[in-house]
Formats: sequence, C-alpha cells, structure tokens
Amino acid sequence: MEETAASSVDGGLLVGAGVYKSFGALSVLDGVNFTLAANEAVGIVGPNGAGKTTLLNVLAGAYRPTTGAVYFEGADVTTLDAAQRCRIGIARSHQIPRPFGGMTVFENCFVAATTGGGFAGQHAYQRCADSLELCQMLHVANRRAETLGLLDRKRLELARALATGPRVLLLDEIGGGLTDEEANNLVETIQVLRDRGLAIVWIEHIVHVLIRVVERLVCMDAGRIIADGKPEVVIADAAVIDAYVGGRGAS
Amino acid sequence: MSKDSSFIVERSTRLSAAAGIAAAVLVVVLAFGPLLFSANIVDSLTTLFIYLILSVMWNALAGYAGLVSVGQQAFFGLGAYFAIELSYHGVGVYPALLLGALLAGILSLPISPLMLRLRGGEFAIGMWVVAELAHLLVVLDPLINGETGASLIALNAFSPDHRRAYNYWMALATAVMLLTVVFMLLRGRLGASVQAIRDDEDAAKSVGVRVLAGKRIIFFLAAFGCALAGTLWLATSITFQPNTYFGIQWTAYMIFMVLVGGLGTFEGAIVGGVIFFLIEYMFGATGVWYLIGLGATAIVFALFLPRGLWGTLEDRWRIRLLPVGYSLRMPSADADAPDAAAAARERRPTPASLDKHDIAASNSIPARPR
Repeated sequence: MEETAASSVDGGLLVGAGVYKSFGALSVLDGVNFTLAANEAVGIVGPNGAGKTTLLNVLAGAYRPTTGAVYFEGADVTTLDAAQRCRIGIARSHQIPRPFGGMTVFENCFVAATTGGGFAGQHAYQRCADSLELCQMLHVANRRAETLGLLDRKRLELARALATGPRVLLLDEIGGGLTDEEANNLVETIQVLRDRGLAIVWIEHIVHVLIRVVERLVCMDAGRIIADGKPEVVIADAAVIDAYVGGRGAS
Repeated sequence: MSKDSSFIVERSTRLSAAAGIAAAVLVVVLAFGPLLFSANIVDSLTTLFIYLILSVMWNALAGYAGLVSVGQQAFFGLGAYFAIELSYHGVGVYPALLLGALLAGILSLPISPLMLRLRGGEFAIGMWVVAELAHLLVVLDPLINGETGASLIALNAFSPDHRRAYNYWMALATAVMLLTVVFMLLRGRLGASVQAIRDDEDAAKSVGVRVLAGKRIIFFLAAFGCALAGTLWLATSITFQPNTYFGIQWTAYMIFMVLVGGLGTFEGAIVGGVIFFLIEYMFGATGVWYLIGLGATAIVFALFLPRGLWGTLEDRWRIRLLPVGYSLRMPSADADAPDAAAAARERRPTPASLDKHDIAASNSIPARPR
C-alpha cells in the first residue's frame, strides 16, 4: 500500500491512496486508489451502495479512512478534519442539501467565505456576490434558506462551496431530483467552473448529464473502482454494464 | 473585481441607527434612576435588568448557537455561591460579586469539552445534570449550612438606601455591558459561525467552521452572564438558599422570555425580558395562577407564534432595530423583492448573453488569498 501511495501522490492534486473504509463489519470502500489531477473534472458513477458518497466523505474529511491515506497538493491530509480540509481548499456539496436554514442565502455564503475561505470585509462580500451571481441566486440573497425550494437549495450548496474559494470541488449528486431543464442549468454553471480551471469530482446517477462536463469517468461497484478512463470507453465497458444492468451474481 | 460598486452589503439602516441612539439615550436616563425614581421602582428596574441579562444570555446560547441548555441555573447558583465564599474569606463584598461570577464563568471552560460534544436533547439533559451536581456539591459545603443557606452578611455594612442604588447601578452597568458584548459578537464573524453550527453542525464543518471553538466562546459567555445575574440577585436578596438559586425555574423563566420575545432575534430577547417582568409585576402575587398563566402563555406562543413576538414582526415587516445580519442590496435590481415576485423571476431564464458577460467579468472564483 505504501508504494501505491508514493507513486500516485506525485501526479495528483487530490489523491486517495489505498483507501479502505468499514463501518463495523460492513466494508464500504475496499481498496480505492483515486487520483484527481489539477484542472481535471472527473465523474463518478456506480450503482447504489457502491461507496461513491463514502469516497467523497473520505476525500472531504467527513470520514477518516480505516486504512489508507489522502493527499492534497502532495501533502498528507488524512488526519485533517472536514473544516481544516475546507480551509486548505477542498469544498463539497451535500447529496441532500444542508442549508443553514435560519440564515439568509447571503449569510450562508458569508460564513463559508469568512471561515472556509479566510476572506474578510469587502473581499468576503465580493466573493459571496460572485458565487451567488454565478449560481443565479442574487435575487433570493436575502431570503431565509429554509424557505428555498429544491433547485435553489442545490444551487446554494454549490454557491456556498464556491464562496470558500476552493481548489477542488466535490459534488455529490447535485443534479439529483431535478428536472432535465433544471439540471441543464446547473450543468452550465459547472461547465463554467471547469473552464476556469477548478478541479471537480462529481458523483451523479444521470450519466448523460455528467458526460457533458467531465473528461474522465470512474465507475465504482461494491467499494472498488471497476473502470476508469474516457467517458465513452467506461460506458461501453462490460463490467460497468454488468454492474448497472444486473448479472451481479456472475461477477 | 469590476463590480465592486454594483452591490452594497447593508448592516444597518436609518431605523436601526435611530434605535441605537434611542437605546443610548435610554441608558443615560436610566443611569440617573436612583435619583429620579422611588425606591420601589428602583428595586423593580434592578430585577428587570437581571431578567434582561438572563434572557439575552439564553438567547445567545440557544437562539443563536443552538445550545438549548436547561441547566444555566448551575452558573446562576455557582456565581452567588462563590461570591459568598470569597466574601467570607475576606474579599470586599462588591469585588466578591464580580469575582464570584468570573470564577463560575471560568469553571464553564473545563465543563465545556464534555458538554459541547453532546448534541440537542443530550446537551440539554447534560446541562441539567451539571446544575443538579453543582447544587449537591454546594450543599456539602459547611459554610452553606445545607439547604438552610447562608447570607452575604458583609452587605449589611451598607445602608439599605445605598445598597439599593449600588445594586441598581451594578445591574444596569452589567446588563448594558453584557448586551453590548453579545451584540458585537453576534454581529461579527462569530455570530455567523455559531448560527451555522446551530442550523447544521456537519454542514458548518464542511465550510470550515471551527465548531468547538465557536460553541465554547458562547458557552463561556452565557455561563459568565448567568453567574453575574446570580451574584446580582444575591446582592438584592442577601440570602443564599441553594434550592432557590439552583432551581430549574430560572431556566423556565429564560425559556419563557426568549420564546415569547422571539428565539434567535436580538430584539426578541429584550422584548421577552420586559414582557416577563411586566407579567410578574402584575400577576406575581397570585401564586399558583401566575405560574399556570405563564405556562399557558408559553404554550400559546409555541403553537401559534413559534417565532415569538419580535420574530413575527421581523418576518412580516422586515423591521430590524438591532440588526446582527447581512442584507445584500443591488441598486440595479432590488435583491429584497417580496417572495412571490422573487419566485416568478426565478423561473424566468436569465438572458444568456448577459450571463456570460458577467461570468467573464468576474474572475475571482478560482482565486484564493494565501
């Protein structure tokens, strides 16, 4: 495992090396090696229970891996918690939006900009305004977040993550539960972020949405990465089709 | 950063500035209280100031930081107890009142790592246990004579009239100081952080909030504030009976004041404190019916006005006299449009060209100060 770690650290901005994660007897991640290069946008697909969100949680610092390590910009960040990882530049969105309901949309971003981003004063305000504008939320900036509908809650997850000034953005099913039109809207925003050079890891079930943004696709099943490469190649991969369509007893 | 001038973050309004000035004038007038008012009114106002301290402290704790404590009487009682101990050991009586409260506040620090790990109901119960434990330990002290209690005898060196005036000034000064400190803290970055913790602790972590540190500051402040209220209460009543000072009724009063006034609004805690004071002033002598009335009022508010009096006003008319929040103003388009209009605009797609232009103009997103 040590060798894996050492060899993959060099090439990646964010690296999960030999990551195992189990909850009691349940093993959720079973030796995952994941590397995200700078400026890269990677999509993660896989059936329910494949360990996608768990991997994201390990990368974001919400979970400590049972064994294995996480590297960011070449430094071992395995022991840093979620707040510390955010402060060094790893931001995330949540699958089920988790707004600060009693605060306004603007204040949601302000917390992120000041604590996660280390911005102060006018810089923090500018940061929030930019993030909200990009996510098309300026017109609801003064609304309490608990009054928002699903689409705006999803957008707020994104805006809040952006307000921290991240180098890496981890998106957990940000398009889930949205109509096609709404999802398209978000995709355009994320494309802009990618084009600006933000490194992105994006978990999504809706593959046709995902491949419009990512240049690399990773497929997970049962806690392992079973395919990794160009989206069209991964989609055509026999193991991937197997994992999605069935016949899992045979594998 | 070409858009620096295209928005304003508003932190106060003309109305709130006027409210600030009015509050300052009121404080100045109140400062002459003992020279202007009858003894009865001076005593009543002293009680009001103590209630205001308790209300604002519990609101900071529960309304802003989400730390719903039912054990703040621990610090109320400990402050008074330490003041008696200090006075007994030769410390001047008025310094002892301040130092006693400070000791109780400091004691909250070693308690905090244990308590602040607990969430929601567990924290509430944990704090109650702390209060009961403090009560039991204090009763073991021979100086306190068990539940019989002890008195701050040293206060008898001052004439009742002087005592009344000193208590009044002390309570006024303490209330003004604590309210100002809490207001400034909540207006600052800490306020935004603790509200994020209150609303979703894990999400707060995910945007970089130092959760434990934020909670600890508010926890200490609320402990110190409640302890000061306890020593002020001791100064007015002179006798210390553990049962009274460590009684759960203090928490019940705090919850009542904050719920009725408006949980999580700074003005609400003040309004609630005044309302509670008036209710007690008018009906306090009716005994059991007074308590039943309090309970019924609290239930009515919880059911029909869950945001309290001030919270409801604030929602309906957007009045903020002592604002701690942030409001984004766009000179081009009013960002504070009524909800229906906002919802309608939200569905209307933004012109793509405008969108792209703005996005190109703002290149601050990937950058990060280091």
